[in-house]
Amino acid sequence: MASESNSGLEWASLPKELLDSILGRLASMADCIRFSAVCSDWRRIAYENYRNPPCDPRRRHQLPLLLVPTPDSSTDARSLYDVRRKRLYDFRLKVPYHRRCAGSSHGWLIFVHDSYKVTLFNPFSRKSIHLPPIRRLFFEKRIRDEVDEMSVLPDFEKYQYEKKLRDEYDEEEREYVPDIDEIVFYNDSEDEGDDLEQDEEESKDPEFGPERFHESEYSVVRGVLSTNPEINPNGYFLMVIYGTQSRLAFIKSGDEYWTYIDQSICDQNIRDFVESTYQVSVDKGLWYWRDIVYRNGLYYALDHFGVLLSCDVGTNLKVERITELDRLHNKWNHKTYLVESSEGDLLRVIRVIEDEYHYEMTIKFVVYKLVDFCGDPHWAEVNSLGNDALFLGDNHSISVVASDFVGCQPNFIYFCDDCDDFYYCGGPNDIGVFNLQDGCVRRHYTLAHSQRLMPPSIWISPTFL
Amino acid sequence: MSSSRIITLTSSDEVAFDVDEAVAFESQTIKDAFGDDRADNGTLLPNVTSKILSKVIEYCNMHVEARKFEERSGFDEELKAWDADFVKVDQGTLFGLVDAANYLNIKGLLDLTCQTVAEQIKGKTPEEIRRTFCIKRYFTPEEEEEVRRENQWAFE
Repeated sequence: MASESNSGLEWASLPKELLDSILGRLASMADCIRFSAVCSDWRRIAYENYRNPPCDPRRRHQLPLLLVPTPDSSTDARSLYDVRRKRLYDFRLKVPYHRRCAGSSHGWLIFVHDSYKVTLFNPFSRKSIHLPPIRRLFFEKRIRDEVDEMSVLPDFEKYQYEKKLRDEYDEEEREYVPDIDEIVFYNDSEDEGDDLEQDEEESKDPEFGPERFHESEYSVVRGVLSTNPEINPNGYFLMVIYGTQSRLAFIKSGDEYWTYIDQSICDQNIRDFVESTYQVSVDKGLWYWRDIVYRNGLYYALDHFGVLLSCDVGTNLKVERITELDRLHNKWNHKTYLVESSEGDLLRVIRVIEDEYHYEMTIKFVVYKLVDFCGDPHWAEVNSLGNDALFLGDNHSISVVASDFVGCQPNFIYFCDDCDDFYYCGGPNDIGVFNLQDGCVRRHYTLAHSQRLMPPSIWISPTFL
Repeated sequence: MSSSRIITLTSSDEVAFDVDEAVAFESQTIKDAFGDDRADNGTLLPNVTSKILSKVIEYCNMHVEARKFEERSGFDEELKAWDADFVKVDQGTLFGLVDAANYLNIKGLLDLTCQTVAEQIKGKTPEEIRRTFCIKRYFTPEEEEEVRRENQWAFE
């Protein structure tokens, strides 16, 4: 075997541990896939590695592609846009659901149907996982529909329509402190309510035609998987932010019911009335969760006011508050994201949105880092993301090490639409990139005006089959 | 303090190299083989040619020397630059180095050569990769079709 000739046989049949090592140094999924297409031996190694991914934390996230409507506005396929090479792939992905994705995590798209059932769909492998319905949403909808007629509970009505009326509130006067000691975990299985009306078909609302809207599309604003269900089919969690009050719920693979994270503080009068009438427990606590991260076995949730919570969703259900409320950013139309940097730090990123030409457009981002975790955890502003690039939008917020991916810029925030508002009008089209160094937003991909009612764009992390 | 001994490494084409124990022990394989057994003073390496072995010894020499200057500022960059030049070799030599580093279990050289190979793979199409590494096609036409179909987006 000591010959120096390039017969080619040798590179193809390098020992497994060498090929593992070489493959492990290819951060880009596209490179890994092309590696697997070189010859049979390399292909086998690539597949083996996919099943048992290396523990390198930097390999946590792939560079996402942007999932956008196809140029011909197809209702069962979507196109992919590559932000690095600034081009749309000719290739299309079959996506059978013509609605907004409630989330995109580890390569899986999260869809919520009119029945509030949840489907995880991987457009690369074309596999689906069907999860039980989020029953709480069904009750919220029913209450909404019925309160319209009832108008007996001014306080209760205020909670349900809080989101719609928020612009009229004076935020400074709102007293809001979620009390950690009062947290309860509530499971659907404890519900005594009657059976949900099962909606097997997606309803076609004649008013909006085949394009949209279904209110259920916005009932879940984001979802985060703890791990890729393909690799861990019996041990993954999905946590979502749902409902008009942006509350938290999660489910474990194989569970029949969702578990809700609630606050037990409740005005007794309201509770009694609603519980007896609707057979559902009422959480008076005001929550406005904005983003979730799964890190080192725990979920972390960040709310609009800077409160960071850690949630242990394992056998010992437990939450802990990490930071107190602050007023760093109050405006309701500013969006808040929680991301784990490649170094393992938690970042709180504020997306500053202003009204421009009757559209709400992003003008800049402000980044904070969680500091002094062991002493007095709080958010401190940072001016640079270092080597990281962030990908934010409706998806599971992620950071990648820019140098791992040719053409990805460090210290950039790549963003796309983040629509959590059913009443959004004008069509989403807030896609661009923000350079932290010069503070400028640049646009790259824009949807045609005719496509403004198509499902919004979302980042998706490609997975390997 | 005992003086360090000289170990003789003989390549597959029967060329003998005398190296310091410290340098030879950069290879975990050799270190394990010799250990405390002071009777043996040399070994034959049937899997490594003289051309490759001399390069390997050059690497080990440099890195043993380098440890004496670890404290000096800017030294890290100098060593990295030296490493980068070291691997500017033809594919055949690179293969020999990867192979030898694995067989002799020299961690630093293994990292360096595997990283070099990975850099040569990044951004290339499968066809380009095959050309770089002179790999002949080993897929059946059916396998090839399946590979292309499964992950189409990566091949555009």
